[in-house]
Amino acid sequence: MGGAAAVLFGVLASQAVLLDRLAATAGSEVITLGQVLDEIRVAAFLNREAPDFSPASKRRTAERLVDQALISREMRISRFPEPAPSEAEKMLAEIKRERFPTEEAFRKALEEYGITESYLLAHLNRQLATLRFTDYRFQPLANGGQANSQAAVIDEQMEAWLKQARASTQIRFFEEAFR
Amino acid sequence: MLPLKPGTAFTTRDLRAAIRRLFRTGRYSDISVEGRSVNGGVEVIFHTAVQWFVGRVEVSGELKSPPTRGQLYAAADLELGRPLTQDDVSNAAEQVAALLRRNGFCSAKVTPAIARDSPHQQANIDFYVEPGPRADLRPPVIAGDPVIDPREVAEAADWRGLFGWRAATESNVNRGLRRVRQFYQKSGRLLARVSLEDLDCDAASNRVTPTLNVFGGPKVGIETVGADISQSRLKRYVPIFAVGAVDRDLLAEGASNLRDYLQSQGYFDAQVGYEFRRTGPDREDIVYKINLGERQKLVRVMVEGNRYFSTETIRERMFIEPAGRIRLRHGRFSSTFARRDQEAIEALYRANGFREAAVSIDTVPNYGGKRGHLAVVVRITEGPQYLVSGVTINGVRQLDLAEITASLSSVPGQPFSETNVGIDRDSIIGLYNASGFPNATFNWSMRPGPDPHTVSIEYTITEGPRLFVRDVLVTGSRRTRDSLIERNLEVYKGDPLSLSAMSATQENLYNLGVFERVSMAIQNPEGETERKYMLYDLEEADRYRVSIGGGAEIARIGGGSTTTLSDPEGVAGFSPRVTFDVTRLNLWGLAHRGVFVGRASTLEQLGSLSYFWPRFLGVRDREVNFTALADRAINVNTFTSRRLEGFVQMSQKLTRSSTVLGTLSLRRVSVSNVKIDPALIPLLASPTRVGMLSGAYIFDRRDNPINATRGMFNTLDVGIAPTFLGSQVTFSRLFASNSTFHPFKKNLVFARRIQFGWLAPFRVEPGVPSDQAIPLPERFYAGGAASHRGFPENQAGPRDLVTGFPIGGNAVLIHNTELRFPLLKNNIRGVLFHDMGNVYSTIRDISFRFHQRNDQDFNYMVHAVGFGLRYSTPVGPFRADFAYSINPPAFIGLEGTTQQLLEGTAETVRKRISRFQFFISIGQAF
Repeated sequence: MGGAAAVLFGVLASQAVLLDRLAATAGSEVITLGQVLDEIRVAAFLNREAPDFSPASKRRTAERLVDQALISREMRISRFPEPAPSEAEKMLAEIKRERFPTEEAFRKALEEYGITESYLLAHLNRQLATLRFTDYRFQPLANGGQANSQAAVIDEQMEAWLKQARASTQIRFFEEAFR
Repeated sequence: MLPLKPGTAFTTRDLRAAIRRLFRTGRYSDISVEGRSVNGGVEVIFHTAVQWFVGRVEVSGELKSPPTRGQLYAAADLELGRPLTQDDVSNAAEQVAALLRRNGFCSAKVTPAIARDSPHQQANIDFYVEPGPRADLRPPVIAGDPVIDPREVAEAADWRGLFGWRAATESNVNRGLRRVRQFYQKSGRLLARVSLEDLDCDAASNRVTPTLNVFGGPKVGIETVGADISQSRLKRYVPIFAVGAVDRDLLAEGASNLRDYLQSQGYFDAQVGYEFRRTGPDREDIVYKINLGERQKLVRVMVEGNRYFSTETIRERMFIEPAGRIRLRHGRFSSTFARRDQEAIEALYRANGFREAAVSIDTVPNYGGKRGHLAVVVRITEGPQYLVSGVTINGVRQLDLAEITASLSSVPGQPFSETNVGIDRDSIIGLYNASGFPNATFNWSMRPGPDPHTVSIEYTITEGPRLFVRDVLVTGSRRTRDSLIERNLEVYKGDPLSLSAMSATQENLYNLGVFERVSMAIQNPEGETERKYMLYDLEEADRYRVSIGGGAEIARIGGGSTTTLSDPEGVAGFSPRVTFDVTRLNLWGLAHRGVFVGRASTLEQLGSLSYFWPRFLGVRDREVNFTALADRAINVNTFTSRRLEGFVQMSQKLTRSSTVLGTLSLRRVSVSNVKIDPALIPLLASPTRVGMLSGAYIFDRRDNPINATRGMFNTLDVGIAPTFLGSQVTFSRLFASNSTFHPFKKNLVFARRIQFGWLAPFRVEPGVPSDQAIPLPERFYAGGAASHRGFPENQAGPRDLVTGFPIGGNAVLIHNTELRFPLLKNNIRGVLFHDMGNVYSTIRDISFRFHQRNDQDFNYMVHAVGFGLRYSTPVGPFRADFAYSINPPAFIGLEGTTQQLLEGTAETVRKRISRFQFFISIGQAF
């Protein structure tokens, strides 16, 4: 987020301030504090809530990002195709249409939450990819039932897979990042 | 390395990429970044915390085995070179303490101490162990549903021995568990489950009370329906008895074993199934239902349609085998074997380019019109042979493409085979690994070639990053000199990181014979850095090694007492033997060793002291040894020999199969209790000094030196004993042997050996015949278990014309032939042999003549035939040979004592070497 960096410069003084740090690692996957904060902002924007930068919220978000990193790694290993950029753009257009009367209102909201459109698009793209991968990976195991029960089975399978992936990966959280 | 560059725009994307990049080097355990405004820009400050890696792991303190030092080391489970956290150390200490507690050390304390080697980011960890006293076991608590009285179950554990309660070691606990399981098995409760639930290790009372969780289960019987199979056979083939548990897998394996057994008995269509039957409130039966089918005999196996491979080549790969006279009386056949053979033959064709080859195996019942006779027809449709039209290699950037291409097995014009592709993959990846590309990958594809029945192959290499050695770190060496270790390294600072060179270094260090363990690792293996530390952690072996052994020889090795002259041809004897060796390893920290060998039997007493200097003057595979020995032997029953000898010997391995040796020796030999014509004693039995320079060449290409089935073994030994080396007798010596081993058919081995020896005296004093110029102990003797089996031990060749005792000769020629064949099962084999040859007075006396001319003639060729049995053991085949000598020598001997010989009162009698000889020992004859 180049914009965020520019904002940061404004407050930089001759005294050193923290720019970023490790927040969590999962094997060789790295999640920085900056990513955690961005994720909190985007989630708050999508949920129409005020961002929660409390230590507990940061920790929860870091855990969610670790899970996403494990899924992304699995997608890379299994060469799962990324969704086309147009799909995320379609989702964004839907959000704009539903929530914002004008483009200006949308831009203003982004500014209030401290995020950029490109970051939001990237987030939506990741979300789409994760959903599609989850369906592809666990759907066959849930075949044959009602939609609700199928979803429950997918969630269950997903949770079991994540548990196994977490156990087989060295995961570290850096408490300094969540103060 | 970092995407952030001074003078360029600062973005969070670059900042995050920089953190990611630094973390992925693996060298930092934490990274934070600060910034401050400087002259309108931003100064970025990275703060990092060092990541430590596992270095040497040691266990020290008052160690009481069990557990051994090695078990404690393994329990720590800290892998050399891996990233280390404080949690890892405390977990490892807990694992070590837990192992100690499992071995009865209830109050064990384990204190880890970390010594940090900052320049190399390596943490060497010492676990200091204070075990305290070892506790004893107490009666177990029996939980669960044991069915049987818990007191009986507790007693079955037998943790109270003759001298009180047993020590609470892990092995004693496990033995007790095994005994409880056996107790249930003997009670017929085969479904019983016994597990250790808890070990209550009470430090105050120093007692350990195990809690066993026992499920007794019902009594289980096992029987067969449809065929009579004895209970002992059922116990052999149904693994529930051996494993001590019952589950479906074991029962299915039992069914399969029983089917195999029945098929080996000719019931080729036998079917075996099983079921459980509850036959009472406390009883279940396992019933094997057998449908035998007709008993048959496989009389013939025919192969049709093969043009490219001979029938013999195909038969060699088949498991199906027709009936033999001794083995496989009904032959070997089943549908499983037929499927297996079909796949094996198809694989053979595919490996040679016959991609469409098809094989079917059909049976012909009542073959030749005889009921129960079965024939098998193997029908092969070979199809076209596909050839390689071209090979393309993509992705080779940093290695020499021409070198890779030259090493390929898949070559244009040659048959296409996936086996060759596999060989190419291994060779290419091996080359990359050896050149510093540990992550290189190989993929291949193929498409039809330009001509019919041709294929074009494409290999794609992904090289990955090239890694280099940052430095080589060696830990754990205390007494061994650094210079010796350095000489044995195959990897050096700055070299490409070669996995093969790493393994070669490990092998070199093991080969020094002074290290018990040589652990090898790359520090920070997953870190994305170009230069890596190579780690070797050494555990030096104990400096002293003592071995005591025993053995015995049974054959015609006795020659009566030292005073009697009555049995010059030897009598049946038993010679027990003990050996005692002490080795001092790693002398002076240079991997030299000193060895004392003591050997005592009724036939020989020997003591020797040797100093071995391996890798002499830094030359690989070269060793020098200095030896002094004293020996007293009566293995030639004509005399008692005493030898004092010193020699220096240098050996050099030239190739994997060939070695040369050079030896300079000085010995003093004397004989006593000599049983020959008293007039010859001054000439033949005077104490003599022999100084000899000799050279030997050994060529060994046998597949197994203890029990060879193929290959060749040659030796050539040439020596000269001139006066300037201190010799009182001057002669030259040549001894050569050649053995070959040829497998043929299935399981048959034809083996043969020829031995030739020649002693040539020179500068012989006038008047002394050349056949009497060399003293008795220096002559050739032959005959016995590892020589010519038509003779007792060392009884071949010329004999004293007065006493009839063997006096050796100046030439020897012996040829052995053996046919080795399977007899019973896989571990008992038979041997038919023919030995021919003799020891001759001189080289001119060597003769192939069959008949002995008279009782003074020993220069003819003695033949013996015989039969032997070999029983395979881990130390080599146990051997019993029975020989019949066709033309054994007759000779004139005496009845009486040496005193009567001197007085001239001994009675002259005609004697003959017995036609029947027997030998019982360990190892093949050759």
